[in-house]
Amino acid sequence: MDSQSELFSNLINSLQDGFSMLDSNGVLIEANPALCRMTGYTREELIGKRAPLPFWPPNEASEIQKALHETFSGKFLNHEFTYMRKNGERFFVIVSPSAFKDQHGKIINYIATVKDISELKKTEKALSESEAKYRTLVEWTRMPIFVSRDNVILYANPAAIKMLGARSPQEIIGKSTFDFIHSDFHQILVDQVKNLPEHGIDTPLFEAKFIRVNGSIIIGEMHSTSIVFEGKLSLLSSIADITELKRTLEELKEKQQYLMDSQAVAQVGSWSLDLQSSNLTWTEQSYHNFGVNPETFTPGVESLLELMHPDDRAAMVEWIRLTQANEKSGKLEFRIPLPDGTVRVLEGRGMLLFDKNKKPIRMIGTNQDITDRKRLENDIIAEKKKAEDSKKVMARFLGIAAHELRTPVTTLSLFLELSQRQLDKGEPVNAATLSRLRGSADHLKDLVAELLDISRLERGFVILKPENKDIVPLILNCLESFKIIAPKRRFSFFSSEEKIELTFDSMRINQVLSNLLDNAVKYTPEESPIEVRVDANPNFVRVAVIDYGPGITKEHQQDLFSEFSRGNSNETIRTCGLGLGLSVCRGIINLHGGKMGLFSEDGSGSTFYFELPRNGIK
Amino acid sequence: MKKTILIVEDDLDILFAVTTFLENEGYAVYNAENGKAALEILKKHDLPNLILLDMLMPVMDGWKFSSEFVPIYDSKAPIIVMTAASDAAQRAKDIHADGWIGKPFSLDELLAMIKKYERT
Repeated sequence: MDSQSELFSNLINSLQDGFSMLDSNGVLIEANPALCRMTGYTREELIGKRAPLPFWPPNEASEIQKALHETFSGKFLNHEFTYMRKNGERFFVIVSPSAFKDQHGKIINYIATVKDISELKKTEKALSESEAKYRTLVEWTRMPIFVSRDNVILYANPAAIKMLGARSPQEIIGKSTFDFIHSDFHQILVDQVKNLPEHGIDTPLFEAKFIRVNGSIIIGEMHSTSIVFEGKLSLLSSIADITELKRTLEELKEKQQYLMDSQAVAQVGSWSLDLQSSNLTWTEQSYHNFGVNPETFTPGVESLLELMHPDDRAAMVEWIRLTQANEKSGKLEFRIPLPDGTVRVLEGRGMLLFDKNKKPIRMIGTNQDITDRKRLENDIIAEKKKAEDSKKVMARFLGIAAHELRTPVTTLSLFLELSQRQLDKGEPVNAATLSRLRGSADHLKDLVAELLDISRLERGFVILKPENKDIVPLILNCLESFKIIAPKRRFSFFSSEEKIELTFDSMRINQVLSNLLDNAVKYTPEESPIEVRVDANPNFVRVAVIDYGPGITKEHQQDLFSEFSRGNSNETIRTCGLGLGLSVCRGIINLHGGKMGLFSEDGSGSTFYFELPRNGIK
Repeated sequence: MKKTILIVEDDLDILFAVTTFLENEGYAVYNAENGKAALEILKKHDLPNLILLDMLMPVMDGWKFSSEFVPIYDSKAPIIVMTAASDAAQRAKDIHADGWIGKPFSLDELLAMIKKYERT
């Protein structure tokens, strides 16, 4: 062997791949050790054989021969075949055939390298199996997943298709990712993806609105990572549909807000006391009801009692005890004195909550601001009492009025009857009888006038005829007439000024003063003096009638000016008419824009006065 | 001998009219303006055949008068209450009076009441 042949021989012997050479007649003239190793035949068993070669599986031999023949016609192509070892085992090979030609183009030798690719095939199979496994996983998962590159969707799993409301993957694949993401979130998506440096590093979860095929909106939490898909860097995104969750949360928030709003409207605060931790929690309205700042006040039984009116604390302690003992504690009213001096009235209710084992775990309850309701209740009670009082006063008045009216009517009828009897007997009616008849009629007239006055004042039918003039002469005249009526009385007069100009209705003021003087004469002993005192200042003029009689007790002073009131004893009732006098007087003075009053000490006289404004009647 | 009647009444007109009438009817009449005056008269004279009593009077009213009169005189004189009050019957009952007459009344009515209750 020459050196070139030796080199060639060494080369093919050292090849990892199998090598075979056939002569132009198709007889195998060379097989290297690698080919022998692969096929399980010795070199001797192979040399001299012609096609079909022993390691061609009989059922594929013609296929192989045909393929090789095509190849040898000039093209250089690899073929994948199944070969068969001597022991019958099949294996995969890649055969790279070629032909040596002489200078005339005549084929001298056929050569072929054979590469055993059984291992490669196995790996390929395993790989495809594993890919199938992952694909199944991705296809079956309920988590919507899609893959995109340059904002074009390359893949979407069934969950993603379903989420987006598509009927088939074709409605999604190939489209722009932006078609399915609300425009408000495009920039966010761009920013997030831009920050994705290389594959393996994820974006954070971010919320976005997605547009379904039918245009409806869903809210999803998206998360992306870069992967290699079909050999190129792509974006793998998964989306969690949180539309329902969001809606539930919104509803919950709305409900909570509604609860808070309702509490604010009803002024109802609620609280919860954990019996294990003794933790007391209040809603915002509770803080408001108790008039404290949520940032500075810590709710607790002690601090609660501190806020309460001291008189209500014991009841609260007892109420908490009853509630905690699960006894009927009902509702509790208590007062909260506020810093501004007002008092708020709250109504508390509570109940005990139990766990599965019927062990008490929690006390819950409400507190409601019932200040307004309470005020209204009190007003109603007061109004009711006033109405009842006025009914009583009315009944009393009717009794008195009947009594007072019957007396002159009795006299009238008795004297008329007597006169009749006298006339029947042919006797004349004497002047004394007529005078008594006249007196009774006058008495009746006065009573009726008094009733009429109060009724007119009450209904606003009294119209003043005011004049601007000096009041002193009016007072002096009135006093003079009383000196004639009660000649034994000592009357005195004092005035701070000689002449006092102001606006008043002379007839009405005379009526008031006469009434006060009349009372002083009627209710005090004859020997006790009566003073009239006039004090003028720039704002008003005060006219006072002062007596030194028995005086009036405090409680009687209070209702003296109310209608039909008449002092305190049976003794006075007889002399006092209907008891409307003072209330008529007050009505007249009120019309003048002034006021009426009384100072009296039981046992040391009384001062009745009226004040008239100097700036005229408004 | 004339029958006597004590009239206790603070309204002088009524007192005068009733007195005039009863005297014309043949009675001897004592007048008192209040309960206290009536007790004074009773001390000085024999028990009358009847007492006409007003209730609301100054100084001493009808209730006080009867509470003092009844124990002393053992209600030997019949009492007729004369009142302008609406609850005349109740007032008469209060003081265990024999009868009552409401104001205003007619003289004939009064005479009939007196005839019915006077002590003979």
